[in-house]
Amino acid sequence: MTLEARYRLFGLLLPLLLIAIWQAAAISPVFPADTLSNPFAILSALIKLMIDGTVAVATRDTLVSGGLGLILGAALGGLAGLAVGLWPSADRLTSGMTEFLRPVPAVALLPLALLLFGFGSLMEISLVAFAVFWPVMIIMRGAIRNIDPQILEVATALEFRPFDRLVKFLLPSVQREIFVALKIGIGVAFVVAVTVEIVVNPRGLGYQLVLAQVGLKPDRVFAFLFWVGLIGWSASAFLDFIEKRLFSWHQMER
Amino acid sequence: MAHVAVVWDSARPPAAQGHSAAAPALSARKVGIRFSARTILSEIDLDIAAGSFVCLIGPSGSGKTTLLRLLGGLARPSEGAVFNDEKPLMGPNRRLAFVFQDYGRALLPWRTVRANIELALEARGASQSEKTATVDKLLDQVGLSHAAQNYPRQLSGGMQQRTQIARALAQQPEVLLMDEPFGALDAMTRQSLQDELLRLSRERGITVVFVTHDIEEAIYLGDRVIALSANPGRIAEAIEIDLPRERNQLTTRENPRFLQYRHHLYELITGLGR
Repeated sequence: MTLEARYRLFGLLLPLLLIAIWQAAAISPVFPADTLSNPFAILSALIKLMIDGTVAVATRDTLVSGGLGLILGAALGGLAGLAVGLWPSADRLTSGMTEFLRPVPAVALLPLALLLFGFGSLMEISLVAFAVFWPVMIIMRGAIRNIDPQILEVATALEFRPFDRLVKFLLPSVQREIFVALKIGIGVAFVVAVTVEIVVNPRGLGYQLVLAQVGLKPDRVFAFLFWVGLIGWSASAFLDFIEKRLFSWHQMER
Repeated sequence: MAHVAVVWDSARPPAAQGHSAAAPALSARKVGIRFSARTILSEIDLDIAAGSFVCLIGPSGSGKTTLLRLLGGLARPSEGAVFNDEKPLMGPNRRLAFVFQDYGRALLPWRTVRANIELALEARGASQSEKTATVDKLLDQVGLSHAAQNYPRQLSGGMQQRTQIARALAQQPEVLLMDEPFGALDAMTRQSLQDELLRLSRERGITVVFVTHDIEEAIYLGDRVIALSANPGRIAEAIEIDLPRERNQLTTRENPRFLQYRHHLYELITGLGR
């Protein structure tokens, strides 16, 4: 067995062990821990919620709102980062505003978003987009500024037009950073979407968590928590997979 | 040094073999350039005969690279003007192809060798069949056919610089502007690339302007060596290299005239650096 495989096995064993201890503690009379539920109850609650479609609808609502917000925020943030990265004067013009708006927590804008859009997906999308915009913009700005001027000089010497310069030189130069920005953006989008649903928006996974808590159903709370974790984990595993396929040339660096 | 043909720049360069000296490929008239308060180059008057091989040499800080960039339209002079085929040069031009010093930064790491060379053809909107045919031929000529699908970082320095030369040739240039292209390579690789460059440029009748800090390399390659002085950079001396045009790594370097040029230029450059 390789070292890598051994690490993986132990990585799997630890949570399984913890679950077993949890289950044992829950059925033993020593801990009267009703509020902590137990793994079996959680699993059966999850299966029940999956069969009746609750999980599917809530997941769809969260992913659609979070996804649309992510696309909107990443696209605008990417364009803004590109612009201020390319033109220092644009950066000087906007940096004051940027530094003022950037630290505002997306959740602090909830009341305003509610006033503007009311309950529903539009409000959630706008808050996710706001939260995703800043990290994407700042990563893109830095990436564009850090492009080796030598490579742009090649584009200049070959008299490439601005569009080709963008597509053939600028964007490929920052493809790694675009990926990093997307990874961070996905995390932010998911956190903000679920948070907004927990705090006010009566839809999605966050709302289901609140419903389960209000209904005093700890098994459901844990079932949704587990599900939220699984979604986050799948998203990052998927991105790692794409990244490895896309950037194989990068690993050839000596 | 009476026996060494030392010709000041104001004299007309003689016709390079097989080419008419009628119109210089590139010329500079009273060219100067300043960056903020610092004068980098001043009063540069220069004619580069079409089809000739001209080497620029000088101590560090003499503005060799800046002069090359001016001649290729990548920098604009603060004074005077640069002419290409007797027309004022207003900016970069695909007929003036650059080979940059640092191949590791001038090749696109996300493109294969083939795709890096194709870049020059994409720039002028060549068709796919033209691209494939031209690149196949160039790969063969620079000895990289076997590495076409490799990425630059998988290759040795010599092979990367060959890729850059092939890309410059794919531009079908009138002039090749080369900035210390072999400076980072080992001696063996450098010598074989020198001979390949001479062969390729003569076969195609391309004018070459070649910046180097290596005196022997300048004499070996050049029909003409232009020495710059530093602070500000000016033309100190322009020397016609009166050696058989067919160069050979052994006999040319052993030629007494070669050694005289080397002696003269060495004294000149070390004197200029002081």
